[in-house]
Amino acid sequence: MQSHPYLRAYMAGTLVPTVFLLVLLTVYTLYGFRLYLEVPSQFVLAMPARPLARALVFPMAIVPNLWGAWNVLHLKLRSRLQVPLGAFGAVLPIMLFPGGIMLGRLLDVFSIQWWLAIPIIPIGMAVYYLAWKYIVGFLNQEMGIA
Amino acid sequence: MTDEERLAELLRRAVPPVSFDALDDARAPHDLWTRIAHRMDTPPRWSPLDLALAAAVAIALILFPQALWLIAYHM
Repeated sequence: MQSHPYLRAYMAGTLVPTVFLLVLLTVYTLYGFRLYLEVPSQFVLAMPARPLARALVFPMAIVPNLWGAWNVLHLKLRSRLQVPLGAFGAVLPIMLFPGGIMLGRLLDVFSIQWWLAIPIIPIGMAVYYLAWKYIVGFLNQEMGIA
Repeated sequence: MTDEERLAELLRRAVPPVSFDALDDARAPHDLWTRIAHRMDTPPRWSPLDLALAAAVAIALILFPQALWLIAYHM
């Protein structure tokens, strides 16, 4: 299994946010709110379907692809940069958070003041560091590209 | 005793017996691949710094629970 290392890196990178989104939506559906799907009245579940669909654009379409691409980039550059995977992953929120907040505003999903959002970025970086070091690192190892 | 037997006896006395551990240690600098392969196979351990970081994240999220949703949105 030595061919297509970039494809394997992409798959390993996308797995974490994809599974996390599933867990998050399950928790959200069960404990957070009841969804209202705007279809037949028997489907009364807390959040209108349209905002939910808009809210899902970023975590479902952009984040997993960016994680995959970031893992591919690390694989491509690691011989030259010599940056550990955890540290490389911790850089991602610096780009991802402003993009997510701007998209959230644009799609009218949520709105947050920058002075409130900026202090959260270091926490996100720490979470990303640990996730990339231990989870993505493990997946890369399993895929034979560590 | 033949010359060959005498030579073997002299060699045995001149070179002390070597244990397997000492043999492994002596060979180790030349045979690093087994160590590298072992290191690659073992998952990274949680260093004290990582544990402290995880604890700091947990404390920060307890103090500012609203940050959890923003982080979760970006995961």
